[in-house]
Amino acid sequence: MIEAAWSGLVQVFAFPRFFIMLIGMLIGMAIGIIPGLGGQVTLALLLPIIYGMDPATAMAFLLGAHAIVPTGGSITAILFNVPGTGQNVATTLDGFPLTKQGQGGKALGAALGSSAIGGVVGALFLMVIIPVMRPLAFALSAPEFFMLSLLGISFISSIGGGDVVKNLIAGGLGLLITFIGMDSGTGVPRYTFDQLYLWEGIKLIPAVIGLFAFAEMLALGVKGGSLVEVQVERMPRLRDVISGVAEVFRKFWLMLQTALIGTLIGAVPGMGGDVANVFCYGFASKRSKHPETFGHGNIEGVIAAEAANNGKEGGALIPTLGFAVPGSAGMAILLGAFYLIGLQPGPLMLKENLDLVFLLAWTLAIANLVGGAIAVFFSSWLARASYIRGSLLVPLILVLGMLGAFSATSHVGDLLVAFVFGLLGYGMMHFGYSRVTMLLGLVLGRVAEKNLTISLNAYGYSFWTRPISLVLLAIIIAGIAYPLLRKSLKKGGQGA
Amino acid sequence: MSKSGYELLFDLLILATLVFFVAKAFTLTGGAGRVPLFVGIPTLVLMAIKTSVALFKHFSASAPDVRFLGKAGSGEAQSKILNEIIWLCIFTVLIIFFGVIFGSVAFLLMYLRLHNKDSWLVSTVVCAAVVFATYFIFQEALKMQLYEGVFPGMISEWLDY
Repeated sequence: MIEAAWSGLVQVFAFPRFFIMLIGMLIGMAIGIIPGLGGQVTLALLLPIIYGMDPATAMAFLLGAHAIVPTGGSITAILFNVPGTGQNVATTLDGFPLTKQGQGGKALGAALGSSAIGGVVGALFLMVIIPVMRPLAFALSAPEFFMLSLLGISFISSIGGGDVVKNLIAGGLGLLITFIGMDSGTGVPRYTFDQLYLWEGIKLIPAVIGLFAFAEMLALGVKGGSLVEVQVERMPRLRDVISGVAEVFRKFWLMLQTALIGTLIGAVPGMGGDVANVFCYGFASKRSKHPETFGHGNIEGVIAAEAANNGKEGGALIPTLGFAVPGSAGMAILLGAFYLIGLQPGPLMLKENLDLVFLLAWTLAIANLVGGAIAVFFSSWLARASYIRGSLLVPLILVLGMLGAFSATSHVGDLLVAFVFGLLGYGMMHFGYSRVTMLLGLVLGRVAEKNLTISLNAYGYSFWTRPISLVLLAIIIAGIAYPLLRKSLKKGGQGA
Repeated sequence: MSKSGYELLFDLLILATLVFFVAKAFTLTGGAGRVPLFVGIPTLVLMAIKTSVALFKHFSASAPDVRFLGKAGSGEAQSKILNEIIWLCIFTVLIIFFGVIFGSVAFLLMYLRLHNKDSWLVSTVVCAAVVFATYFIFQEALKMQLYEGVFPGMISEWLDY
């Protein structure tokens, strides 16, 4: 285990992997700073670039970019009151009041410092949990892995927000779309309309680009106007930013607590960075001796919110790497990337590629530290990126997206898939269907089918009666029933 | 059309897609339809229930519905959405017929000039920078063969003969 951990650390610094990871981080930070884009758009646009990279470099590049997005997002949340991503919402509550009081630099330093250390805490937690995760993952077989796929979709449907029924439908549709193409078991083409392009199924890259990048750009184009309305008279000075970083060490216990809570929240599929950010902000205000100051510029609010949203990535990697159940949209895209480059997360990866698992954990830690340091020194300049006009961003992302989509198989069909998924994604956004659940279906579909087929062949239709499967099934049912029951009870209560 | 009208249309579209998936799964041979049915039937049932409820609500609602995207009334909001979708269509068609490079140049120039009302200078500079950067990243750095499009492909084929 220790050898694998050491090997993972050495591999992060191998040339040119470290520099590629740095490039990924810079892209992630730039995208995080621009409101309206986010982790999913970043990964969607970067997915095509990993072709030709070795698996370790590809994953370091993607994870480096993904890990740093919320750090970039905190800059606009504090300076302009516009969260760069959904994971920075709670950061605005105290961050922007501090900016209005002339303490923007200090708030920024606190956010960047707690983000960096929070991310490291999450990564260390992941490393500690790997020895515990391995025997658990080895104990599971095909029926349980099929149930885990359903568990992932049902969890994100039920606790990921929005209408549970719509979310489940989106997940089901995502799974069905993955059945397009040649059935690997029987060799029968399914839903292919005699098109050779469809025989290999719908490609993940154009689908993800359409579902996230194009849909977001359509929304941005419709919204119009500037991304950031607030004009800051004077950008923060480096000295103030560094004093903010020092503040994190003065509130170290709070930072550590919220980073760990964020990590645990991240480990639950469906509970993304948004929940971690808001929950830990609430936690900090409750444990504070002066809760009345929260919302008016309390630095603890910034530290707690930012430590949590970076810490949660370490937690989110636990189900993704151990059980191939991604905890969030970003992790679902990462999981898709694993499959694209020929890696198989789950027991096989924990057994045969343990050094790669540690490499990911180290990448997370190092990306957070280095990214945080870069942001401390260059945040004033980086913040200016958010002044870019939305109307200028739309065609740029569309061009990049189309090029990326085309790279999947260099077939014109990829462009059409991206286009169709763009429209579908926009419709889903608009009418409250979860794109994340659909993405989960798209990523897990083939694996779920393989596990279901093995389960049916080995155990027949009673495969779900195996003890662990039964427990997982009970969790799935409870997970779906709980929000529905709560909703109907609420309605009943209002009616009475 | 009202928002619930559009939503209903979207629901019906998804319902029709699910019906297709399930109906087709019944015709697949050699057990290839087993898993699609396993997933498709429950999803279809959920969607059918949801759409029925939405249909009932839509036709039994007596109060006038809030217009799509509401605030300004607003046919304007609907036309904005349609406008963006048309631009995406134009871009896809341009790339398919004129290839990545020429299609992107044409799209960027048209979008920046006609949609954004940017000056010729800004449009040309942005267009040149983006196309150069993407060409460099994808063609030179990643060694990707960029799609040349239907028309240039036809021309080069014709020239070869």
